[in-house]
Amino acid sequence: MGFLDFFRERPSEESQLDMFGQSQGLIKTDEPSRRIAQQDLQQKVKKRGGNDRTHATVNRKVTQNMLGHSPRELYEGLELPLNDRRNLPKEAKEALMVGDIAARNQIEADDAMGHQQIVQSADKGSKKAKKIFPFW
Amino acid sequence: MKLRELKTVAYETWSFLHELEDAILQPENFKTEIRRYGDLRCKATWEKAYVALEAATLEYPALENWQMVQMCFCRPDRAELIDYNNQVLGAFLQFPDGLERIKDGLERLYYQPSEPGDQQDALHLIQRLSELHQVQSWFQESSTIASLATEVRNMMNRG
Repeated sequence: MGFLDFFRERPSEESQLDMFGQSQGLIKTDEPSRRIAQQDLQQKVKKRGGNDRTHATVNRKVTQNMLGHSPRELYEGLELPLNDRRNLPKEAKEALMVGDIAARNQIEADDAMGHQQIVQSADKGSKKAKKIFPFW
Repeated sequence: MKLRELKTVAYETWSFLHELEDAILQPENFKTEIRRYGDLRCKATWEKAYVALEAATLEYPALENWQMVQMCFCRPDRAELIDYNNQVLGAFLQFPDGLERIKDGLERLYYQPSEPGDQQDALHLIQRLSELHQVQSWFQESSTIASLATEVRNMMNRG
């Protein structure tokens, strides 16, 4: 199945109703960004029964898998004063954005529910995605 | 929160801190750790221990600042974090960069909200910060969240 099949078969919740109540199947053309990827992952974790600790664990796994360092090692190694991904080098941001997208898609594909399953899927998804980056 | 529940969440929080720090969990050391906060028979000891451990897990840089502020201080969903939110906030502010991180998270929530209610929640947390330090006069004189947060920082430095 390619993208067109996937796109045509996407769940109805993603299409919208027009003023007459008819499904429009509107195309969402938002530009993807690192911030949106992180927000979408956060919403996915929440919707599937995770809490703040689930998200913290997912972030830790994605960072470790994509960059080879724990968040503490990364921020301290780069001597960054604030814990915020916007301060990271571009290459690290790109890898984390890809990791977040991979984690979110794996959570959905595995139908993961609850802390343990969400963390396992995020771990699996980001391990698959890391291989395209030059630091591996 | 009852003492038995408090003991359970203190242990879970201690375990979670080990998980974040990638440290080997040695359950036999748990009570020794809690004794640092007082007599194990007193509820206040377990409350102090839980609050300190929870703040330590938040200090670990796993959540971005805005996520921590949003999920842990504005809209917590764990019972213990709801019950002891002000105490955990107070403990977090004791870390050297605690206030800077809260301020950074507040600015992001206010200027780049990701969910409905983020801006209102950010303002509400500023209000709580002011109450936490029993200083309210500066709050009415400031117009933006950035200046409010700066004022909080100055107030902390003076205090």
